[in-house]
Amino acid sequence: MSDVVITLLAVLAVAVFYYGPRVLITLAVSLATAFITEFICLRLIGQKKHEKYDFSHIITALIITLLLPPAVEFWMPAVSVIVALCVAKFPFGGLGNNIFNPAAAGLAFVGLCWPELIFKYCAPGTTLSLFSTQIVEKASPLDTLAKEGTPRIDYMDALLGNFPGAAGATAVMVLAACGIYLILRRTISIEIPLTIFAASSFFAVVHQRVNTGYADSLMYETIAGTLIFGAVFMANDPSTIPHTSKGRLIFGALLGVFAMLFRYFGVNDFGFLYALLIVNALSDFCDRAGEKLAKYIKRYAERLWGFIRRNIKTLLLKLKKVVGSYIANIVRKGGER
Amino acid sequence: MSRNRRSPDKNNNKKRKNRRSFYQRHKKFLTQIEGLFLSNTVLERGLVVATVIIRGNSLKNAVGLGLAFALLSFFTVCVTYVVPTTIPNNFRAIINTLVSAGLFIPVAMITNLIITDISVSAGIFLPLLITNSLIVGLSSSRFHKKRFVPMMVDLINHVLGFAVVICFVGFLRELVGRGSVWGAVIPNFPTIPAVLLPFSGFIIVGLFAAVLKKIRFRLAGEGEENPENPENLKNPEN
Repeated sequence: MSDVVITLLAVLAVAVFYYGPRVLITLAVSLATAFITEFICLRLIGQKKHEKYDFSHIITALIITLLLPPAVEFWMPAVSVIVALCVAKFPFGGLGNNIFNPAAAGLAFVGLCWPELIFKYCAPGTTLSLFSTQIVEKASPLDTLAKEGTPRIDYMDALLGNFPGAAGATAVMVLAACGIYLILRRTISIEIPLTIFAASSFFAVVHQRVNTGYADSLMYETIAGTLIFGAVFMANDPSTIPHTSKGRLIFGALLGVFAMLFRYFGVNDFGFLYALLIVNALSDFCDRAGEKLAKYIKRYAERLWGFIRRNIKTLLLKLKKVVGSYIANIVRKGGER
Repeated sequence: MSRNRRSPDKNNNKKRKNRRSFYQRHKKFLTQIEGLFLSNTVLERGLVVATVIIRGNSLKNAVGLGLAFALLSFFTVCVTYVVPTTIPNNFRAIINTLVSAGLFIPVAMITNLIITDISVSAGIFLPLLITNSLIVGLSSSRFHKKRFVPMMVDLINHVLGFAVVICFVGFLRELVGRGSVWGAVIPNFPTIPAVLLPFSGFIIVGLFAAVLKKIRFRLAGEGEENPENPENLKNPEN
């Protein structure tokens, strides 16, 4: 868990660099709420001592801070954290027993309640006044894509996160570095991010929403919204994902598909989070489906291999005949000309 | 369980043995009205939950649905009391549903007179009440096994339990979600619109069910007189 906190602090540094100290105030509010709520809820479920290396509520507060826009009102992260801990975490039994990702649940609730207050983004580098929410609104790339426009972002800006969006979800390079660090430290498994990106890339290539080609469609669909942040930090919550690696592959693929469907048919920047909540509920199914699928694939592969091994001579002869006649045909045609 | 909780002090032990818990002292009364609270239709048995979750988002809807449910279930179970118990359960469920379908039209008309346009605002969930679990399942497994007057008391408790829960949930959701009570808007009341959506209904009903479970554990006191034990609930003399 400490690895996740360290990497989230790196992302926080980027957010502070782009949007100034207002992000830190938001963080302070959400952290304070998280500590108080955690304290009360632990008392309520009858656990008097806090576990020693339990940073889960800190992670929840950090994720909520980084996924909200930089100029958000201060009561919003507080409500989000309270919903996350009091609805999605402790009623299910606290740390290690939650079915749904707490941060995703809290953010989804806030996003459903006050969409007009939440999805207001500003350009990075603007100096935000500390206690007012007055900003010059800029459309996020997902918003532009939903309105059938083409966002104009340089490759370098896309990598550095220099475009309007949530406070910490834009810096692609930092997020990728965090992901690689977490995978190398074996805190998260590689299957889920890999399959998420595979599924989303497939959708981006097959169904393009911009007119400037495959590469641009792929880039915009990947950097827009909360896809990379979610794939690295939220989809790998150990108690909400399948236990087997085959199950995780299916989990990631389903998550990618649902996230892209929410993008195509929804209007909300938090589509990934809704998809995550749906797939969290299916994690047990993913385990079972993974095992069944592996069994079927193994059986049919064995049958196919056995068939090939038994009939290898006749097959080769047939192949030779077909290829020989084809070549002879070509030679004859060439001769005629 | 009782052994583990006993303290080593012997006098204290004797006192505790003699002292009866609240549930033990009022067991007869509590079993009579258990449909109202302790084994509530929605919160403890988990029946007719869909109506509460989806259409229990305003007080008007809630009162209308509670009234329709009460009239429909009460009269149906009372009328079908005459159906002989020698008929298999499956066929009796069909007969019950047919009778309730016949009773639906007068009930809907009465409800519509009291609360205007309930059949529009409640949608499909008003006619769906004719197949509720009180009529289909519980009538043959619980109500028709009793004598007529105790059955009526039990039935009234069950029906009132549903009405109380749906009214409370509806009042709460309307107040928090729209900032109004019975359609009258309270000025400057902070609202949370997502409470009106079905998923919040799940959360609210779940939290109330948890509270009820906690109260049941509290009432249980110690040892074998636990109301969580289904045998104790079924046989009051035990």
